[in-house]
Amino acid sequence: MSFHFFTRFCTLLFVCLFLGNTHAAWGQSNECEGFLNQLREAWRTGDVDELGKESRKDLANPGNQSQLRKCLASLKGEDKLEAYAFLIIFHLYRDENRQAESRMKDFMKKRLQSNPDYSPKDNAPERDVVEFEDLYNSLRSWPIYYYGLKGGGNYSGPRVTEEFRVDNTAAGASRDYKAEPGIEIGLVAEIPIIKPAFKASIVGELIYSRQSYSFDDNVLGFANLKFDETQEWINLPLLFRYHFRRNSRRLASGEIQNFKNKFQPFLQAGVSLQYLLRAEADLSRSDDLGSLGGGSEGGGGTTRDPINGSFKLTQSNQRNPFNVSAIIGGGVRLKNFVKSGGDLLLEGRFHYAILDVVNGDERFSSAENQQRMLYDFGYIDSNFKMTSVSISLTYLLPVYKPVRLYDGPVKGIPIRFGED
Amino acid sequence: MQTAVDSALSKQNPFPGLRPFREEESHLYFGRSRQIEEVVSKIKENHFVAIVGISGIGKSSFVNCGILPRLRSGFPEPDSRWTVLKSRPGDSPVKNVVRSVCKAAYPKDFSENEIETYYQRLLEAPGELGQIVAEIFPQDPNQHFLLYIDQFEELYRFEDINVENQDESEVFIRMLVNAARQSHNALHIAITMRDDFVGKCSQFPELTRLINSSQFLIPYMTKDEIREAITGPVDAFDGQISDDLVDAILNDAGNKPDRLPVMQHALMRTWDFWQKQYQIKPLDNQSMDLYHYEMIGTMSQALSIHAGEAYKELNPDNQTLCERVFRAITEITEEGKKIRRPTSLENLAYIVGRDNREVAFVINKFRTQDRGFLMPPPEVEMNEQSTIDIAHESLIRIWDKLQIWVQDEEDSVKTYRRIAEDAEKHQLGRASLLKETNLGVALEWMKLQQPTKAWGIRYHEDYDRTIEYIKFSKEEEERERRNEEERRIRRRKQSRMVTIAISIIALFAGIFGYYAILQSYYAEQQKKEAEMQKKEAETQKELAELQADSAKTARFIAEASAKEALVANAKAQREALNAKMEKNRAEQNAIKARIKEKEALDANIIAQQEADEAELQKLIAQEKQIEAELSKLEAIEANNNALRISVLTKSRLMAKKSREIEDPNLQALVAQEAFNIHIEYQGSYEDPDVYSGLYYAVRELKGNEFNHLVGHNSNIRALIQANNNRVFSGGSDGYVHTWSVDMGSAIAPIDSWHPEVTQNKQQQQLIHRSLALNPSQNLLAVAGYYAPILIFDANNLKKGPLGYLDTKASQVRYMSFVEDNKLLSVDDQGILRVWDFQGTEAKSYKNLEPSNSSFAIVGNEELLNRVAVWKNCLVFAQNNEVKILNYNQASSVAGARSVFSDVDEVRALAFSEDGKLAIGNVKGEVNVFKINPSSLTAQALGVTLRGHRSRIQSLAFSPNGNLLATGSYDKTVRIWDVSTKKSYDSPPIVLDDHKDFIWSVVFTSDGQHVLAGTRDKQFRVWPVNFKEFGNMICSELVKNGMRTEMNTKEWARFVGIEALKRQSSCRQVISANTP
Repeated sequence: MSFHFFTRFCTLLFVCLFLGNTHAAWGQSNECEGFLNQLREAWRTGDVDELGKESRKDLANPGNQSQLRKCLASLKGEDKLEAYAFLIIFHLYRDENRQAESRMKDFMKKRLQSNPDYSPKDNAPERDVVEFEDLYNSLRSWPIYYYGLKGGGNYSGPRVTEEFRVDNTAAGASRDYKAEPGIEIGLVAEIPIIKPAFKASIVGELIYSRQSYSFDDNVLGFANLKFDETQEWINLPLLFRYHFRRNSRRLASGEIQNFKNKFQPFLQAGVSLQYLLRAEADLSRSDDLGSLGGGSEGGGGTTRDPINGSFKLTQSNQRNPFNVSAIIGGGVRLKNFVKSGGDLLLEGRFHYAILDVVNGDERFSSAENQQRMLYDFGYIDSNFKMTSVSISLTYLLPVYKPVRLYDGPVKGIPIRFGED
Repeated sequence: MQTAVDSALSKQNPFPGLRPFREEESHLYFGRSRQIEEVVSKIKENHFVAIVGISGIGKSSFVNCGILPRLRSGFPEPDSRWTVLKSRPGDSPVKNVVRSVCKAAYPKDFSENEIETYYQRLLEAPGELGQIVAEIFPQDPNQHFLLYIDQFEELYRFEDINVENQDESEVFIRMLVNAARQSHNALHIAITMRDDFVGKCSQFPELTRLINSSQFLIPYMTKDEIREAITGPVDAFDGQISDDLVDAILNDAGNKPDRLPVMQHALMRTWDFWQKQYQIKPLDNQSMDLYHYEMIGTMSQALSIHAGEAYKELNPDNQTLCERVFRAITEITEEGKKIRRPTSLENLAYIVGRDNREVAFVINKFRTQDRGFLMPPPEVEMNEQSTIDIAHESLIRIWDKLQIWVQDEEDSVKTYRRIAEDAEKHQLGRASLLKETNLGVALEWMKLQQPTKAWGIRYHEDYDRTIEYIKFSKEEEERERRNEEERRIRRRKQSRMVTIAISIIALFAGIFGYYAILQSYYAEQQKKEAEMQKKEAETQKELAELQADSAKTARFIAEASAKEALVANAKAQREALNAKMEKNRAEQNAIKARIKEKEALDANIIAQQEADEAELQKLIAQEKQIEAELSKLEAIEANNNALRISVLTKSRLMAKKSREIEDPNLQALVAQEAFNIHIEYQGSYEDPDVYSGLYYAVRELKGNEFNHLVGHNSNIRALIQANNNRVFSGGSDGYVHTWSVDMGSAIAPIDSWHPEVTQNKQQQQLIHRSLALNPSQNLLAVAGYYAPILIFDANNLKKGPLGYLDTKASQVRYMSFVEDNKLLSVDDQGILRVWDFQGTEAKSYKNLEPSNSSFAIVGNEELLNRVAVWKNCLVFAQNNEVKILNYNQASSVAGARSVFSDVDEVRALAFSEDGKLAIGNVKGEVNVFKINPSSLTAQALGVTLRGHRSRIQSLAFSPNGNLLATGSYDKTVRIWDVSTKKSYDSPPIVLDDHKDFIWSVVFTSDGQHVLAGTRDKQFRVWPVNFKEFGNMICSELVKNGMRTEMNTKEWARFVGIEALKRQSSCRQVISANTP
């Protein structure tokens, strides 16, 4: 089951990365061949009104399929963005602010997808048009949230809080617990909270995880018990994440210097609500009577055929279904890892369960499971909490929604007024 | 025999090579003795002979060594004496004749002045050549003169480089014809000419007649004559030549047109070689033989080898230069003939882009005594004006290297012309930039040709544009390539990272996959066990189900009765609803009827309006017709003033021409002279051509910054005039400046304000777009892409705003002070507000509320293009419509009436102080109206002003309302005279030295200057009339110690009006400055 899920995850990743870049190549139309040149020529000769008017008309009739819209659709990549930039400038120079803003929103969604580090100072034709820059800066140019997938592995083991055994627990001998590997996979959403620098974020996840541990024990000096438990959990972690990145700063010349911060280490902490889907234990006992064999009442020899058993612990209520864990962790975030603007995160976490997993009320119950485990295998649940360490890869895609942040640079402008 | 060879050695070479025989070599000239008499008799009879023949047949040699010696030997009387006046047309045929006359009369001392005097005399009276000759030479009945014009075809060959000397060619021909006709005097004329130019002579009927009357076509030499031409000189030098060699040469010469010069050259080389051989290894009885002939490469190779020797003597750099020089002095005609293209040394140096000395060095290699490939001959000293020419065209046909060069040059010219045409198309918007192969070709061409401006102009006038076009194409291509490269790298990086990511994920997947398989195996085993248990459980379950079924039946019966009740209820509700709907329908019908009634009423009103409009159009049409008739009458009057008009036309031409001159001094003189004669002949003080000639001349002299206002670095969106020639400006860069306008050197603002604004940690601009100044000029209001209107102390911007008005809009589009303390504003929602801050402290402005009359002048979704205010009139443009409103009385837009409906969107409006309203649209057209403020009516003035190619963005009237400045996105400002109805027809001054859109224009308070605010960084001030430029030029010339007067040649070339005598171009300034 989990293997199948992985192949689907990989396919999805492929689709996201590659198809996203190629779909626009379909459907070039001949009528629009010179469209971009027409825009460039209009800009060169100052004839911004004709195309400006057409664009306004197009925006006013969202239902109609206008020639301009067809032509915009026929362009791809940087050409399309250049055409949008021209139309924005044309609208601005025609005092059509609403239209300019509407085109700018489309422009920004596309622009930031392909280049999240975009600045209006970088590209022609918008490079020297202050009005363009002003409009751009008045709209939100950072992602409102990220979403994505994650996958990884864990290494888990019990932390025993109270030992229960058939033997005398005071005698000193204890179970030799061993942590076992497991997997986890899930969906992630992340919301930046300190804007626009975006140093911190809140992360919510939905994770399916599978954790195992095992131990070997010698019961009453003759029975060798092998115990192996597997648990499947649904986890709902909620984390606070803090990125270490260089802030933009003001240079001596008065200009503001921005840093790209491609590689960002981060720390995170939070809690996870957990629900246990399934827990199963496999037990096997083999006896070695050895020296005890001779004087035994029912003794037929020194050994017996080993016996095996598999027990559904969740069905028999031996496990508590709900749990809470504390999480701390850290990792690195590779900003804009791929062209379409996705980030890749490599992280490690430490999960520390707060509640006991074992339901103590059912420990000595007369139910069949418990009876068999005790009498056939000589096993009694100790109280313990699950602790695990996980390593995972997360792929996150940003979602932009350019909305107006303020009505022009008005509020909060430090205008110095003359002395009274 | 040995002695014979020795004596031959002691002498020079008997063969002249490529050049013709000289007169003193007539003892070496053989083969044409029979034809001499025929020509001489023609000279005697007609005083004229035209000796015609194909290239290389030996015309010059025939005259030099045949005709001249025969004349001098006593013809027609034994005691006749002959003076030969030898000349070539060159670049000044008449002057060259005068020069040869003076040279013959006073071989040593004759002055250039003298030549100039006779030259001018002949230009005016071409018939006086005979007289001049008679004046110069002492009277003697036995004295005869032969004016020998060699290479007569130069008259046509030089046509294209001597455009302004066309007239001189005519004078020259008239001079010859007259001289030949005056058979009583002692002057005789002989011309030599290539046969293929004879046809061109027919342009001049008199010359044709003359040639027809006395022409001699030189025949090909017969084999025997050629044999004589070979052996004769050898014998004369006591040399020996074997019969085999003579036969071989005769054979090689065959019937080729170039055979004579080429043969002469081969013989010269053979002779030299033979002599050298002999010096090394003297042998008995050695004659020139086939061996020697073959060693020099025979006739087919000798020339190439010989020229190649000269070429090889040059270092690689000079070899390249040599190639360029030869390419410059040859060309291929339209018929595909490779011909010479004589060029002066100075021009040549320009064309190849090197200095005279370097070029002369290369040329000298090819004109030594033993080479003589290039003219002038070695004994003539070469100077800048010397015409460099190939000695004989056969060199072009035979020298292999030169053949290739000529072809290369032709290809290069073709490539250049093609690119130049593309560049032109590109400028007109009909072609894109050069790309891929074409760009490759152009760049390769640039690399190989390394074109200079002088070279380029020879073949296509728009050289600069062409080179710019290539460079721009290249930059674009490089930019494109860089982008592509970046994209490629980015893609590669991404795919690498993705691969790594996928590999990591695949590894995880593999590990967990294995684990999963293991798990499923365990699960399978457990499942088997579970199935057993399940079977047991199922039996139990069946039992339980049986019990449950009986309970279900009971419940079903209960539910059925409940449903029945519900259905009854629903029925009742539906009936109630039906009744309600009926009522609604009736109401709707009533409303529809009322709407129809209203529509009918509206239609009625519209029809009435249309009828009014038609009436108005008819009146306008009538008015235009009357105007047209008036201007016709004026034209008739102007016709009487023909001379004046022709001089004025010439002055405009001069001004235009001046812009093409590269020497700043000459450019200034020509522009200034254009101005002088324009004023002297009562031309307008606003003539656009003279204006632009002067402007560019001043700019050349004083530098690009001379009219530059330095302080803005982005769109200058608003300009407003203040007294004392002050101007306020506001731009997208956030700056507000005060300027004290002056011209002559770059000026800086006298006061400025610029806020520091940071939003979201980004530096932000305040974009200013509107300025208003109150009548007392102490308050300046500034608004733009932000909500508040900032109020400044107009005399102290630095202090920052005194206060602000809170408009609660997102932008303020337009403002105007209507009184000292009353400001009118219109925001981006189209809402008009009037702010009265009488008695309000500046710091409390922010609490001011606009007066009650605020209302929207356009609807919410509509476009408000422009607003202008004058007195009580508020004019605004909405799409194509311009409307007027009395804002003092109106409380809504309902009272607005239409002033004008333009053919296209209106983008600019401006009032003059006397109530003229200018309206500019997106097509670049401007209409002017007179507004009546009481009746709110408008009357059209003059015709539509056309000329701008893009949207009008800004309009401004001069303070007296007579001039209108229009600023357009086509990057020009035009200044129109709108003082009278007629003046609308006169062409505007065009201020075209802007690199980007014009955003704003304004006049200074004295009306003498216009400021043009643009998108580029060159914010310029321009004088309204060009007197100011005129003064500037002369003071600048005097200051820099430059010439203030054109020389005769320049005067003739650029002014060239008979009625105007040459004089100092700074005469007015000098006379004004001298006490």
